[in-house]
Amino acid sequence: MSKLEVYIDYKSPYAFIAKDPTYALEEQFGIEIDWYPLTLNIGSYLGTARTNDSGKVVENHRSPKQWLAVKYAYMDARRYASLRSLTLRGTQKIWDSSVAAIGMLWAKEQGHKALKHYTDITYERFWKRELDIEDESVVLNLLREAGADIDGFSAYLHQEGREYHDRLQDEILDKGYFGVPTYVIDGEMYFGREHLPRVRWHLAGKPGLLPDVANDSVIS
Amino acid sequence: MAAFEREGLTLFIDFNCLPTYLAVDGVCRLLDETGVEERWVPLVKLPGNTSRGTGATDPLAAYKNRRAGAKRRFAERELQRNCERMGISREQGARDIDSSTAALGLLWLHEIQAKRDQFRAYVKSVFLAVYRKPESVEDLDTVVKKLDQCGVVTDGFREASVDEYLAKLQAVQEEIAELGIFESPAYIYEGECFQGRQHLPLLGWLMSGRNGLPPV
Repeated sequence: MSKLEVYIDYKSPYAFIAKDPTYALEEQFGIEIDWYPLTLNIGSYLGTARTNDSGKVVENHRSPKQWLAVKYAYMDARRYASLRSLTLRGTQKIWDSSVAAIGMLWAKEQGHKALKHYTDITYERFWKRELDIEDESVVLNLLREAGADIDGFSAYLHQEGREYHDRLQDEILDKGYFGVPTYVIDGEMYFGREHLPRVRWHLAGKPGLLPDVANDSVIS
Repeated sequence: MAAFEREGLTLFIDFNCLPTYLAVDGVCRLLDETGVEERWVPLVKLPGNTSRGTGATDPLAAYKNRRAGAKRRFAERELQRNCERMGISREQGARDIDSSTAALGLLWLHEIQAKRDQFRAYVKSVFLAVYRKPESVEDLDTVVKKLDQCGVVTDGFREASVDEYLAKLQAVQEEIAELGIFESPAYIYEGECFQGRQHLPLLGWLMSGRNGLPPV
């Protein structure tokens, strides 16, 4: 069976709604996904903005075209989230998700169960606006709750983990991965959850014709 | 062309878009299965719709350029995959045309209140001419020929002022822009906008009465 790498970012609404359909691959194909953080620099391609609690824009560095893309992306992600009763509240600023990403790397070292639990609670609470993912103590608590051993995390976050994360982001971009979720099997890259039919086809040994892209996962 | 959000499914299509061609058969199948009314609207790439390069003083210029390079490589791979699906060569799939003239043909079909089958025949024959059996659909004569082949009255089309029709097309594009549509294919169903062919499973679920669990 081919190995599947999946690249995610906790601040991406599209990666959030792809999480459970992606987990389903593990059960369907009896595999363990190799997860990596891909920390997006959203401001570099969608500009930056900040809103207050009533949704009013109080800081704006976005073009009309960028606003169009951002508004559509949230509307699109929210409609799919609501079909699964997931809460997805638009963020009020562009978050730096690197601390949560380093938490992910730490959880990964602790095993699949801890990583899955950490990812689940981080996504769920962040998209309910209950989580400051830039706060080290918040991430530490998430790791503890996920069942990870947190001894040494603080030092890891500021040294080895940070260096690994930053080096990883550089390598990821060199490999040509630029967004989330990204799926990689046998060096073949599929970007976006609409590629899940192709990921399944690839994992199944490429039977028949390459399927088309589609948001076709059914999650009970 | 106003009131895109009326009953049925409104489809926004750019003839210069391979992913749109890939969606046509699937969406026609859905329409046939559900009996939902359809409305085809031309979408063309408007001048000024392309993103600008990064300035030399931009501190993120190096990152942006690397990311743009990665996106280009993915787009190229995606083009190859789509061509493989269609059984066409990369060169055919990468064909880049000005779809405005073919879009005028679609406007003409609305003008004469053409039948559903005539719309579909025209849409399919134009895509065929763009991606499979290359013909110049940038040429008015070819578009007239395509309309003729669909059994459509073309008296008046050729005589109409191209400028007048281009102005109509521009007005339609402005209405589309007002709706926030920036990608082909795009769809509006029950007032909700969907951009990209990946939404066809959800559209199918909605159009067939929301039975069972939704595809997500």
